[in-house]
Amino acid sequence: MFNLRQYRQFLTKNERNKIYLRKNTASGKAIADSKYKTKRILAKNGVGVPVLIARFKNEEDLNKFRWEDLEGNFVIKPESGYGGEGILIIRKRGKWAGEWQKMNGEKITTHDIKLHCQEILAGKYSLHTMSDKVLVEERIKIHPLFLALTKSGTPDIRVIVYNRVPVMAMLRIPTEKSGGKANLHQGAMGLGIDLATGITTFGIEGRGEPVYQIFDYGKKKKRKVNGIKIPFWREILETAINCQKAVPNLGFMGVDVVLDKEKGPEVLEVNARPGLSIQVCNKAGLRARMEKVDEIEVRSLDHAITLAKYLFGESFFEKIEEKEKSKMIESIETIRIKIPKGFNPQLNKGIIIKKGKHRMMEVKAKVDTGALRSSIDEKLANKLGLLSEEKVLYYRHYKSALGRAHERPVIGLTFWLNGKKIVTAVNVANREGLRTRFLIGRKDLNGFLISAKK
Amino acid sequence: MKKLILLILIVCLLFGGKIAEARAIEVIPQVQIVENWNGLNSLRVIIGWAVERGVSTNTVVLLLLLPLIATLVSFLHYVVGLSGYGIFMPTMIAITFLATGVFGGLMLFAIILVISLLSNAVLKKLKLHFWPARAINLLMISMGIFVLMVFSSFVKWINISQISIFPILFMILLAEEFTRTQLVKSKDEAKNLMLGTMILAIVGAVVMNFDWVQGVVLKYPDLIVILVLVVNLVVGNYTGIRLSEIKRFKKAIRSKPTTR
Repeated sequence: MFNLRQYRQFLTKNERNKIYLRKNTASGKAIADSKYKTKRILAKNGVGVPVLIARFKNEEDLNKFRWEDLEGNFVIKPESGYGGEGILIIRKRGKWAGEWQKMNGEKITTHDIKLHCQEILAGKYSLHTMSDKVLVEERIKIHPLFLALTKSGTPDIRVIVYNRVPVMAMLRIPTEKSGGKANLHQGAMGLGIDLATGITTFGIEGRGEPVYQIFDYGKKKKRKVNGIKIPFWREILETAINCQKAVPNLGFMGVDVVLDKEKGPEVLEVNARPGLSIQVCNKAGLRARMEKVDEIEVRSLDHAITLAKYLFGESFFEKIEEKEKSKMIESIETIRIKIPKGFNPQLNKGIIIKKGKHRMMEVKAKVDTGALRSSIDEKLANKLGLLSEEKVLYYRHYKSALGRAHERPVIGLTFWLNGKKIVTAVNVANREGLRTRFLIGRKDLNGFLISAKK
Repeated sequence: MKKLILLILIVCLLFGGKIAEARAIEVIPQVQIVENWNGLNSLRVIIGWAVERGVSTNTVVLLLLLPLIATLVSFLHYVVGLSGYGIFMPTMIAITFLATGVFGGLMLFAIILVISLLSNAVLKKLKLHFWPARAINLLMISMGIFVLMVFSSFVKWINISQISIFPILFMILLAEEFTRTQLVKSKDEAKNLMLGTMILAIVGAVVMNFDWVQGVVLKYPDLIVILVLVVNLVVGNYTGIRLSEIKRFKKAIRSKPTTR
């Protein structure tokens, strides 16, 4: 039961500090410690970063700055802040001059903002209460998917990059307990992310309490923590790799990527001492993964992403790929049409397939992207009991290819194509003498690829 | 984990009760003055000389115990996973406990912490600069301790009027570290580290207070030097898992090994 060998995959604190942090040199750490340096170097290397509005080195700079020129949407943060402390986010101008509105709607005056800046300058939020500098930068407009997951703060994506390969990632969601901070040890939530697909896997809160559900403020109900697909996943991985390219002195690096609604992935900071809880929310070991990419010489961005995808992808990654393959259909496909409940069709028992509570019948169908709606042969529809009063949705005038006008019923129908259940409205037509008694129109072909091989 | 910590705490307090009343270490086994110097016992010979010349035995024992306690703290940190505020803080608090007794020390600390938290709550509203706020905080603590000292000298209930400035200073440092960690990291983290510091300090104080430990330190100082060196070289190269991490990563193990 107690098997220590299972723990060999994990990166322990001792090992991180003694072996992997040695790959981060002093100059690299100096860059990571200063948000300003990070921003400059990353921007130079083409990585997206929030735009810098101003930087105050001392009180003089602060007093010279004209706050009234700003329109709102800015963030004030200490340059060498720690753990997300001392960050002030201003949403817009207040009602009166010299008044501003914070994210939670609270009012704050320019005087208060200045005082906050002075506190930062005095070193209230720096690690050893050393005097610090103030950064004023543009506010990130959070992607709506993430906005729905938290009330306060900015969710971000932590990607651990080692030897220029992304080895692990998690989505960090601030909670009320964490006070809007995205740091796990302050009580934020962490969801592991599959590197191949960008889909979340497991969730923890704080230092390791497992969570299974998260409240979706958009839909106003709980949803599972797994199965959330992160948008721009490839771009996020690319951004993370580019960060390590820009700061090669950090061989073992944690990149914090945020998703801007308009600008896509942007990097807030890089971390020279990434935490180890990421292993718990991914249920995977960092050590085993890093050892795998240790000797590999990464040739390009694509190579790195492919490595991450195939070395560290979850097993469901193949399933998803498989599923995508199974969406390929031929020009003639066999579909299964549902027979309405309580109807006894005049058919041989052998033709009817029973699956669960459904009864269905296999029919050959022609795929026709030239038609909008699917259509079914009148006689077949009649046999299956589909022409009963309640099944007919409405009648419509119908012009055949020869230009003659007919009146045809449109019926509600459920059928399965390649395992996908399709509930749709279908024209009833006279298809006697045609090769197939069912025709699938483009309305019901959404998400399928049609093979032209046969 | 919490139960374990509680258990350790209770055990420590039971043993600590022995030194609860201790005001200062008054020990100490007589130092044997060694005449024959054979190279291996140099340290012992030097200690003999020093004591003969009037260096206090007390100080010698404490000087030798300090690295031993630090070693204990580092071992507990890297192998067991019990962490406090750095290595010096628990060591210093252990020495403090030796002077004040565990209960007296905890009491003193509790008082300082309460004053500090109260004054911080008030100072936060005043929106002062950081350092002036700290200075006022210090003033509050000083005043509080002073009042308490005067008070206790009348009441004779707990006599802290005789405590020297150093235990008080160390406790103030600890309280400051606590509020700072609370600010910089999180409340939980600060609490955990505080608990860790206390446990480490109590364990250290209990170990230091054993008569035989003090005896061994004086009789075989060379052994202590070697022990400290060896243990720290081994611990310093340890890259394995900490006991506390086993619990942490237990949740990260999948029921079926699917790691690829």
